[in-house]
Amino acid sequence: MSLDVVGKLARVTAEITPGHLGEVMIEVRQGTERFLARAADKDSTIPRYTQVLVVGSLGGRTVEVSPTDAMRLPR
Amino acid sequence: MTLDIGITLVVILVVIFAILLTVFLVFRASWRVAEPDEALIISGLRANARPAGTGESMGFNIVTGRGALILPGLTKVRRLSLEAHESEITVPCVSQQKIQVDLRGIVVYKVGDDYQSIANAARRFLDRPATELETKVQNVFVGHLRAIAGSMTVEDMISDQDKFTQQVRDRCTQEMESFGLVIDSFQIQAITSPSAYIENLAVPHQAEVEQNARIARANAEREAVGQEQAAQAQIAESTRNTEIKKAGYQAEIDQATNAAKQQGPLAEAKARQAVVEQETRVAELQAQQTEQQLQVDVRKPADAEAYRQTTLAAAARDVRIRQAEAAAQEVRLAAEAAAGQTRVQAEAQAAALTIQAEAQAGATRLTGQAEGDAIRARGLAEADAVKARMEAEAAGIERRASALSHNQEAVIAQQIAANLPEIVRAAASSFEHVGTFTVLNGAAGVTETLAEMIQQAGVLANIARQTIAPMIGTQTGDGAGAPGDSAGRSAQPTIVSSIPTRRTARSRPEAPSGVAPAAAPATESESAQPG
Repeated sequence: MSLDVVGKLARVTAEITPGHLGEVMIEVRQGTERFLARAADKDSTIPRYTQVLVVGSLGGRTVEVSPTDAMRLPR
Repeated sequence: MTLDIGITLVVILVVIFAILLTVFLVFRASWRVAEPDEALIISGLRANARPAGTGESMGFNIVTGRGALILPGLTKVRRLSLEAHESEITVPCVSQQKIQVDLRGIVVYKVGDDYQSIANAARRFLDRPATELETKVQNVFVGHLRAIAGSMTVEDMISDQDKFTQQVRDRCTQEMESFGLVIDSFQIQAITSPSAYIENLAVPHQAEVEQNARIARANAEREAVGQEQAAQAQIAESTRNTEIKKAGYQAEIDQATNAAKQQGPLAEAKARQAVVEQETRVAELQAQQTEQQLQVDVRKPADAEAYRQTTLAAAARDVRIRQAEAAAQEVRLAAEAAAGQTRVQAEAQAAALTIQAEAQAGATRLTGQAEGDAIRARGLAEADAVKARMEAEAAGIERRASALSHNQEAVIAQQIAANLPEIVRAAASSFEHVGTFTVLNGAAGVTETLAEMIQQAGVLANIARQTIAPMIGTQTGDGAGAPGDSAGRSAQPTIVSSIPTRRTARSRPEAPSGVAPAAAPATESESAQPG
């Protein structure tokens, strides 16, 4: 089911640091759900409240995200 | 017929309705609808036939948000609640500093909304009571929380919520995911310490806070008091200013009122003043008129009368002055004539006296010489008698002296009588040096003075005449009778008897004057002897 959220924008609610999972809030199924998240770039740190793009699923409720600062995708 | 047809139609309609109702009820009994917070877990016949929007897991269907037709007896449907659950977790644990603390937390969780989570949960908790779910969650969390607490200090637990949550997420999420649960929230409600560690942690801050609070309160109170006092001072000042202004305005009001009150009397007084001024002016004019009238009526005639009387008086005065001058001239001439006459008479008398005196002197000298012898003879004869008489006389003198001591006035009179010729001469001598004779009381005074002078001259002549006459006639007889006079004799004979002595003295200047009448005969006797 994590494939449902791939390609969606998310907001970081807990800081993503190397070696630890963070948490993102994704709009899905007409609501918002929390997913564990890991940075696509494993060495980067994504601070809280950053807008990210879900770029992949690690299975279960864990996703892989990438900051949208450089992309500026339309919502 | 028609009635039968109608009945038949009604029956048909009722039957149709009943059939439709039965069909509806059967369908209603076979149709299940999933509520928004639940999922239908359908197992049984044709469970593998997945309709769209359903999840498939191990031969059962999961239906969320819509209905599903079930065949009673063939399929079984059960509901899995997707609502949130809440578990309270109380964990006695030991912190990193080996301090015993009690953690009390609340975890809110629910079955995940995706089919995997629902399937996981359905396989674990379907048709189980909610308490079992809670117990499972509590057990999972208790172990993990104890481990988390052992890796953190008490201060971090209290202050670093993010770190704690991070730890909880790292450790618990995987297990919760296997339960098909999602943690909505995890909160530590309380951290308590049986050893009062946390309370002691707070003590310094508490004391500091208390201190600051007291300081702040004191400062605030001080400022408040200062502000209050300042406000009161301002109020007092404002009150004072207000009172001052009120007083000032009241004073102005009073002033204006008084001025207004005074306006009436003032105007009246001014009007009266004007009237009085006009009346005064009228009175002045009347006075001027009266004065002018008086000038015309009284003063001019009076001046004329005064001038007339003055002129008349001056004329009368001139007349009287001329008369007085004439009278004075007349008197002066008369006096001059009288003086000339008197002088001639006096010269004549003097010549006569001189001649008489010379003749008398010759006669006396002759008589003296004749008498000298007689006296000497008689003196000798009389010596005894004299001696005897002297003795008697001495007694008499003593008696007289005693009498005189009792009768001072007689002595004084006697002294005056003895010095009278000198007095008269002194009185007469005042006229000897008169060059200009000024008379103060007019013509009458001149006349009086002249008369007095003439009278004095007459008196002197009489005295001279009386003096000379006895000397010629009774010189010896008088001397013999003189010793017999007593002290009570009057003054007049004394003067008379003393004058011959003076006359004798004038002819013989060496003879002493003013001797007692009793001594005169002896003196003359002694002085006559050398002559």
